[in-house]
Amino acid sequence: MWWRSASFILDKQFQDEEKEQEVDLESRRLTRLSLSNSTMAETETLQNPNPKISAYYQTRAAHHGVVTSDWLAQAQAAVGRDPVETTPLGASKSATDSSKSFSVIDEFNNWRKQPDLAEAVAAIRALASVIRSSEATTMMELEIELKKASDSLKSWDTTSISLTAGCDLFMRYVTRTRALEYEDFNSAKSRLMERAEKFGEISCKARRIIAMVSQDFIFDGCTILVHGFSRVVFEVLKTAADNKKLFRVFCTEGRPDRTGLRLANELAKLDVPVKLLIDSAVAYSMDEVDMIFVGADGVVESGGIINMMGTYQIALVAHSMSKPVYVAAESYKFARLYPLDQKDMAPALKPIDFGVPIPSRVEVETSARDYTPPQYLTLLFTDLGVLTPSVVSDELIQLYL
Amino acid sequence: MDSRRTSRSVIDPKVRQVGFIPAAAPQLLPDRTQSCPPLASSPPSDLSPTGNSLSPVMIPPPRHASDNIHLPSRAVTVPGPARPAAGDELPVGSYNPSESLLGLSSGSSPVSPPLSKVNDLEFSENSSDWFRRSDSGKYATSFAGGGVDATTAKSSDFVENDSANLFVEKPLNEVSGAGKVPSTAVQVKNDLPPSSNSLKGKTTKAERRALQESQRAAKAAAKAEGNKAAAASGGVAPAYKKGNFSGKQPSQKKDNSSVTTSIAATEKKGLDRPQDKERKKDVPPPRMQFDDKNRVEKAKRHAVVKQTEARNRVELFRHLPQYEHGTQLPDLTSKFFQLDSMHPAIYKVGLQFLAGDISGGNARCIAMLKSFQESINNYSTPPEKTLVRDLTGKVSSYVSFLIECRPLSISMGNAIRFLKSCIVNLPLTLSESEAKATLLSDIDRFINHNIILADKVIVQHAVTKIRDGDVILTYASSSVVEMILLSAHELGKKFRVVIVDSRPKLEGQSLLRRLLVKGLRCTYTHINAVSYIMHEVTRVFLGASSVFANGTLYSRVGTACVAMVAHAFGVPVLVCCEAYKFHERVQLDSICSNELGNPDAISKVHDRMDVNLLDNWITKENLQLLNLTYDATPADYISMIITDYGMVPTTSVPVIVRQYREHLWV
Repeated sequence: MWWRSASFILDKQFQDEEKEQEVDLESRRLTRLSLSNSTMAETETLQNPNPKISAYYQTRAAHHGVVTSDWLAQAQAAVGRDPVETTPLGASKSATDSSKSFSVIDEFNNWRKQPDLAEAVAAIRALASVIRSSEATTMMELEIELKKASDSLKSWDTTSISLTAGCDLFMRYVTRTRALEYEDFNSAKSRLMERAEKFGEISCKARRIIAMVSQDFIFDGCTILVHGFSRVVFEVLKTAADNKKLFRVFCTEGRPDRTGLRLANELAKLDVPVKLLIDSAVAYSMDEVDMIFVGADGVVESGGIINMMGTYQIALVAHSMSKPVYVAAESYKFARLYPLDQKDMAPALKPIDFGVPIPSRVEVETSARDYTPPQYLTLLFTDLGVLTPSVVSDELIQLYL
Repeated sequence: MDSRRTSRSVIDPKVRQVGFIPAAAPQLLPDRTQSCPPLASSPPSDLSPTGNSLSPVMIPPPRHASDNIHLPSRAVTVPGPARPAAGDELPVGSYNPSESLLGLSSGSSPVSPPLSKVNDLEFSENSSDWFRRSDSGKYATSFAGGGVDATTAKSSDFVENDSANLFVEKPLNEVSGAGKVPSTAVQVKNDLPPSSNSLKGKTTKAERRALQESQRAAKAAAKAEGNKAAAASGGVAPAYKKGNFSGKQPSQKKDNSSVTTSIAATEKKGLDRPQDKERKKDVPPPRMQFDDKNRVEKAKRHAVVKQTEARNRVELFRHLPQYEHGTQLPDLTSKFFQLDSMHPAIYKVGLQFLAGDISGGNARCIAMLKSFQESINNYSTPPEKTLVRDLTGKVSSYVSFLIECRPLSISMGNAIRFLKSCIVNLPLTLSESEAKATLLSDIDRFINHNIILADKVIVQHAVTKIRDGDVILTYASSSVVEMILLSAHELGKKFRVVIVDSRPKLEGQSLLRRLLVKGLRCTYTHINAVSYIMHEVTRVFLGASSVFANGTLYSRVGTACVAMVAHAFGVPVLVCCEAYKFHERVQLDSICSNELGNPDAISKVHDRMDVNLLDNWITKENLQLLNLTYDATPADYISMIITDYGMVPTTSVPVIVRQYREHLWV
């Protein structure tokens, strides 16, 4: 199984990044991605090229290096369909703002290629560069430009909660300052840039901060259950290992994209004892577990989280067996959403490979994530500190009112 | 009922008065209010027991005790000759004269029955406030009196024995938070006898009551004396001297009001505002407890609406007003053309409340504000008054009338608080017409911004939570929920509505009719069947009368039942509530604050002659019928609150209350 794991693929990905025409599987996948980006910029519809797959998960797949046969097939099909890759990106809807929107998406994609950079941070960086390269001469113009850029980013992938939240937060954080009204344009602009940089920096550091604040919760001899692969959670565990804490980790497999395997691999490299479980073995092994760590795609206003499929049931099992569930999430994932139940979200779809052909009359649930209500979460580790779920809403209200 | 208002303004809000309250407490309150015209004619009346002496900021219980004990002579304390200084001290001075009067007289002449009370009450009624805001108005007049005192005190040197009392005085003021200790007095302060402090702190209820009694006696005596004095000496100064104080205050006020008030007013304002503001942010005032006989009596005496108490009152709810229903309306209607102080618009709205023609939190609130607008429009400041104070008093009296008609909803309370803060924050430089225009536009802004626009925002949010195929349950009739359903229908969403209703009001039927007209698919059922119908429901939308800081929902009785059943079935419960209805109070049950409806409504069943077993229930001594209007739903059963600030969990209500206050009342 290891050959499919992330590190292997990621390494390759770096080597192969430029040679996209190779028939190698990896590069084909990459081709598909970059193609989708370019076609999108080209058409300016700014929508996910393949509505059946959440763009968010495409990105994750690129970063986590997980491949499914469906994807490969799609990638191939895509290549076949439209080999033109170098369409000038500026050729788009209206002459005035085309260059702008182009540069945002382009910039965003540049940043996004760094596997360690979260999507939201990439978006924040991209937006900051919009300010920098803007030729606007009035504050209003700049603001409108920024708004357009963030809108185009958001509509690039409507399924990514952190992208949307990151853009919103950026707009809030950067543009909402009283001082702007009293300054001349240039100084105001430089102030905006300053704030944008600062926000980007904060977002970058968020993962470190979270790793630091969560150390107190990991004690020697504990067993931690982890679901899926989350860079924050990995950072937390890595820091704990660096701090010479003795603990053991249970990794779920993380179907369908098997992100758990990657985490297990990474942890094994750090000499942390790891055990792999299939997703359905969570309840079976829960009595050995001391705490559960999960990441989050988004933290919603109720204080609950939206995360990879399976988080909800793990939280339920943990709750019924009185184990604490800890969520590690950067504050740019705080979103103004309030799902009432599982179906009350924009679905992010992800194809599932069952290994055998599925009869056409059988329906497959392809939703990639679920919503865990706040009552099943114990604490949230964020760069704002360690929060209870109910504080999330307070923070959001402070931010958005 | 007036007393409810007065008590609110005066009694320290932190003392929650359930059950017994020392008799004197209510009396303390009213007197401060002399701002109203009528009293001037009867100087002695002003001498009501400790009344005048209470500063609005004071903590009452200790105060009574200490008052009585050291009958301080206040005039002395206020020697400050310079005007500005006097300004500071005046509040102190003004309160005390009555006290000192009491004190002296009690020493010299014992009992005679208290006559003046009624008058006092009257005054208090006018200016007394539902909300704490009103104090500023009161200050002014008392202040004016004080100013006079100060000057007279100088002229008449009767300082001697007072020095002893003086000491006591100081601590009182400090304690009370009136805060402005005269500069001259400061040195004295140090010597104050420790006993006074301890006394203040330790007096028991019984002791306090004893003190009240003696005080009352003293007052009566003083009054007699004062009357004599007043009669004998027309001039202010002589009167003052004679009683040492008695009587003079009111008469002086009258005479000098033109001079003093204006000065006092200007000075006062600057001083009191910040203080007021702080107080405002403090705790909300307690409500009137109707099991407190004294205050109820008093309230009744000057009520416009003559309510008769219901006979078989429900024991657990004694603290709430329980009146015979349906008796007052004809009476009041006939009085419509004889009203003196009440503006016709207010009167009309009051009657509509009473008759139940206007119901629903938003509708009542808007109707009330519109009537206020009308009355402000027709308002003109009487001579020798300032608009800010007089209008506050007026509004308070209107509010008290409306309370008599039907207890205020919390949304109305918030709106009134807003209006009062608007009035008090009017810049002094505005001319009357400008001030009125400002107020009118403020009210308009409130209605538009906090009710109408808020509803639109709520609808926008809520509609996103309705999906095709949903079955939406709603209870009774809520204007916002109706808007949400209609708007979702207009957007072409395919959903079904279940309207759950309950006796006796059957408000759901009117909602049902309106929805049917628009072509929605509806199911109508009574609350008895809620557990049956709930399994097919996917969303519950509820309206609210108020939401408290702990997330408790306060709404039409039966809501809690619906929410609990929904919770048990795992159906999300969405509460739609405008942020102006939020209240910082924390409430755990529906007992301590509620409204009782007409018990007859539940004893009779419309159109069912055979159900007549309760026809003569009034005559049955051991039967009490309870018709509650509201109930409290614990936060646990609520999934989400939709407000104009977005969709928030119940735990965020305090945050919004805080934010909202910053936005609104500052």
